[in-house]
Amino acid sequence: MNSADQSHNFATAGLPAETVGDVHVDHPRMTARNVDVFYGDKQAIDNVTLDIGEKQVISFIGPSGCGKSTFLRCLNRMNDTIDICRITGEIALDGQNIYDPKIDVVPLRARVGMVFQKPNPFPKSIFDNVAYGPRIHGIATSKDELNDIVESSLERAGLWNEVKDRLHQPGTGLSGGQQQRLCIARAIAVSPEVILMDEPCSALDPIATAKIEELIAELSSEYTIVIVTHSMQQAARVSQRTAYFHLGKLVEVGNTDQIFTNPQHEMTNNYITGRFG
Amino acid sequence: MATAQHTSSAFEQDLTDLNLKVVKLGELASRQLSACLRAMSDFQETRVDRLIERDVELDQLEAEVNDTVLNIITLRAPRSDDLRRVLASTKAAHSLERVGDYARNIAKRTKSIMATDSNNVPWDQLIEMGGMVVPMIDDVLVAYQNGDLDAAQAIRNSDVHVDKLNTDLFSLVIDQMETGAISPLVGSHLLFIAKNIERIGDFTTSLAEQVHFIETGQPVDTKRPKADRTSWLIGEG
Repeated sequence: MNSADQSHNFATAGLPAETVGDVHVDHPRMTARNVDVFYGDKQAIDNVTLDIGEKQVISFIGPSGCGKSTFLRCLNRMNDTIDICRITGEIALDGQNIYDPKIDVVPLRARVGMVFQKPNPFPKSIFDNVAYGPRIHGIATSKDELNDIVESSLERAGLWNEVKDRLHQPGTGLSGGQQQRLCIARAIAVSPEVILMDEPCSALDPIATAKIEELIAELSSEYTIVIVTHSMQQAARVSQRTAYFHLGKLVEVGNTDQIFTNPQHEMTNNYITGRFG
Repeated sequence: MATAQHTSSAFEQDLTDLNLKVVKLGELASRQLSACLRAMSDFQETRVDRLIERDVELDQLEAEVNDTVLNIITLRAPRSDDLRRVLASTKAAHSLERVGDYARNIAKRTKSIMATDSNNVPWDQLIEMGGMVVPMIDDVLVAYQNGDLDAAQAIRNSDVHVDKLNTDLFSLVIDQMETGAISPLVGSHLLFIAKNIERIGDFTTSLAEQVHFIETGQPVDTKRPKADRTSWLIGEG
């Protein structure tokens, strides 16, 4: 199916011609302009334009297959690892196009870190999990500095007190919630500007989820955070802005309280009130 | 805004049940007031006694609405227009229960007046005023069920006619008391009955405003026309 055919299908599905709500913010850290993503012939993202505000949490919500994770993965070029994936449009970090051929994706992915659905610590010690990034990026110049980075990263991830006496035990020996906080510590150890989180709590119990949500709130004073979540309660609790995706389109974006109390587009309302599908 | 059914049929059923309870409460409140008006026209004290007894049903229905709201909030975490409807249900149920309370009070006072064998009681004017409010209640319940903004607005605006009748009746009863056509006791009961009907009109407009809130997510931003001048009337001496 070519792009024009796909657009025709979008139009007949009751989707808005343009995103409802203000896609722009006063202080954007990242900007996406007219982004299209294709997996082979299939269009997964259709003409998405969105600003991601500095030191803000924005949630991406929408039904499975709506493109929210695909769009998230565009923000640090994780989709580059998929051969058939093709991206058009522009995505910029601090005004610089991240798809510029001159951009090295390794430092980019340090600046735009990522936390995945399932905790994925390296099969190394707790210390080495956090120290890995600073080592390969040459961030620490001495052993003492590396120790400081590991300690402060674990502290900011709310894990230090739980692991300070067993730093050299395997990270995989921690509970699921602790492993996810270890992954967050690993991401912030390289001083990212943006942290992408793809359903970070979907494999965790309610207590571990509450701890991660608390951590997201604390981290948002220092970092820009983009979170994909299927939990609308979570989106409502942790984010200042919420974006609703459907069939690859960004249907509506707005302040989280407005999106959950009085969305402007019927599709958004149907989704958040459980009338979808 | 939303027309599609919820994916969860149990949630859909919960919301339907909640709506039906509010409407049932409203219908009962409306019947109570109608029974009062019939008692005024046919002077049947037994009718009055029956409607006083039925007030407890209104209290029970209000409690059921509140229980259902608690369950829905706890189990379903409603959002957007669902949340507004659930929250508005408690307010609507309270308003309608108050309508029932006013109807009961009107019934008691009607019985007291009947016991005096007083002549010159302006029953026709009271029945006219009450007869204006009963269809307002019935119509607002339909607007509430259907989310009909235009009908809700029309009901809200129509309360001005009730206010005007209340002002006229107030002046008439004061005149009757001054001339001795009715006793101060009967006059006082009449003033309270008229005021109670006027308050029922106010609760009806409040329900109409809830319809606006549920459907738009915004409070009504225009002032309601009013014509109740009873607070401003001054005597000649």
